[in-house]
Amino acid sequence: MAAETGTPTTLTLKSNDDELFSVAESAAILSVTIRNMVEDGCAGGVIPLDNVDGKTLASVITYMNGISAIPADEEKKKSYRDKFLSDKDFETLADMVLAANYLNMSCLMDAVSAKIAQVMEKKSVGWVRRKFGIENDYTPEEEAAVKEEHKWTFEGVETDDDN
Amino acid sequence: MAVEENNSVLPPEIIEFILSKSTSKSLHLFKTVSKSWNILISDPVFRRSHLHQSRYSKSRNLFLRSFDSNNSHACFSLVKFEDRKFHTVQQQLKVPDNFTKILCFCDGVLVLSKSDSLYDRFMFWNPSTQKIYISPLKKFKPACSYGLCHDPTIGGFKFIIVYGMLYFVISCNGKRWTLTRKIMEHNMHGEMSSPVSVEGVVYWVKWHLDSRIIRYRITYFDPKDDKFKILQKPENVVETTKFYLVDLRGRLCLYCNGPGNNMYTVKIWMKGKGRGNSSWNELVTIENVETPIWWFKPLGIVENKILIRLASVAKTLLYNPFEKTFEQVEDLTFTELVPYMESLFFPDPII
Repeated sequence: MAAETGTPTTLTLKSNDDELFSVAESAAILSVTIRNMVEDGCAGGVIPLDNVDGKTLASVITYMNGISAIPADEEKKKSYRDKFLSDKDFETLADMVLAANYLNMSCLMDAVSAKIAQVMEKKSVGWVRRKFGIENDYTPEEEAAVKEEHKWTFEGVETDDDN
Repeated sequence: MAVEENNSVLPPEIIEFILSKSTSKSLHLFKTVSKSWNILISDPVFRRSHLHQSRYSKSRNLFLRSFDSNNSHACFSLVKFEDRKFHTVQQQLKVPDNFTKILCFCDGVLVLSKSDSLYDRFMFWNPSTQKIYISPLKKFKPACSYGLCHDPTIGGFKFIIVYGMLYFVISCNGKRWTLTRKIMEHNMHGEMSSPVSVEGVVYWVKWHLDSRIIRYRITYFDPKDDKFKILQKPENVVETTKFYLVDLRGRLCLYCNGPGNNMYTVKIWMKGKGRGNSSWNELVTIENVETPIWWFKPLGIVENKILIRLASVAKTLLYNPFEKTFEQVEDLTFTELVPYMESLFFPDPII
């Protein structure tokens, strides 16, 4: 799959908004989706990634380069992932989890999902509904009944005016 | 178990994956997000994958630390092992009066006893959901050994109380408690160690005196027929070698002194995956251990290193199996630590 010569192979990835990115094959194959394309020999020209926009792809490539530069040291990889995700907001994280799922990158998928779960801690139900785009299909009575059942969980939750 | 939403930002399978990484406390709150989220969070299959995430996630390393307080309340705090230190995440998780002794734990549920009288009372406690249930039974004298197992495929939790050859099985199938009195088969006699709950069953080291020699075996309680059985040890571990059992990342492990019974070499074996699997693989041999094996206790695996406690010298060490080095970690209050798990399971009896 990689070139026999010493020069590292570079792949060109194309986002769904037609941005082009160059990335070392050794870093790009962290994505099982891309690795399969390379192994099947479909990576000759440009690899189109129809489900990822340019902004998200740029971020994913930063991650690919960053994590593949770290040798097999789980502790260092973990702290790189923590740092990489530390300043991302919910919308960015949601785009990244979709991209990680599409690109089949389990380590990124795990890390981003855990980060989203962490962001959701102590957030109100109203916040979760808004951010996830989920409609409240409870009647007020039903909602009150479910709330009553788990009363203590509402302690220490951020207050939410829209809720 | 799909969460169907029209305007949902994320597809249901990704939402499910994210929620499986949330805390039990948050999940109880998120039941009110929508009906489909409530259905998902209440689903036993989801609950298992949530527990699995908590158990196998490399980044968690959470423990419950018990400490004595001045009054009769047992206090627990939640600590996280990170960057070679124990950090307190949550202080003072209080449990009801006098329930101070941890008897056994399984899938995020602990059984504690109160032994201020002739009889034991038992409390079931899930620290992650803060659910508590105190057993109304008062008839049990302090027993030789206890165990808790949880197998949702054959019905909930089973709590085992062992008095020599006699034992009681208290099971909760989600609706009510049942109590069964049982007698062990003749060849199963012996003393028992503290229990290790893995893969839905409970294991103990069992020993008995035979022609003036103590012989050690692994026994386990099989919740399918409520019987005690014997599990094959690693071939190289002879009957007269004293060994210990521990749960490392959800797998049963056995450790004993290494080749030639060298007191300062500890060999750890890991049982093959699956309940019926009695194959053993050598996990690691640790040389130059500072204390005899009875003071040695592995606490868990942290980023491919083994966290070990040496009770006699009150030291907590991180052992690197690749470089064969020990590193002492900061552990100012050397008190009992038990693994903490995010779990939505609880023996919920409706009495």
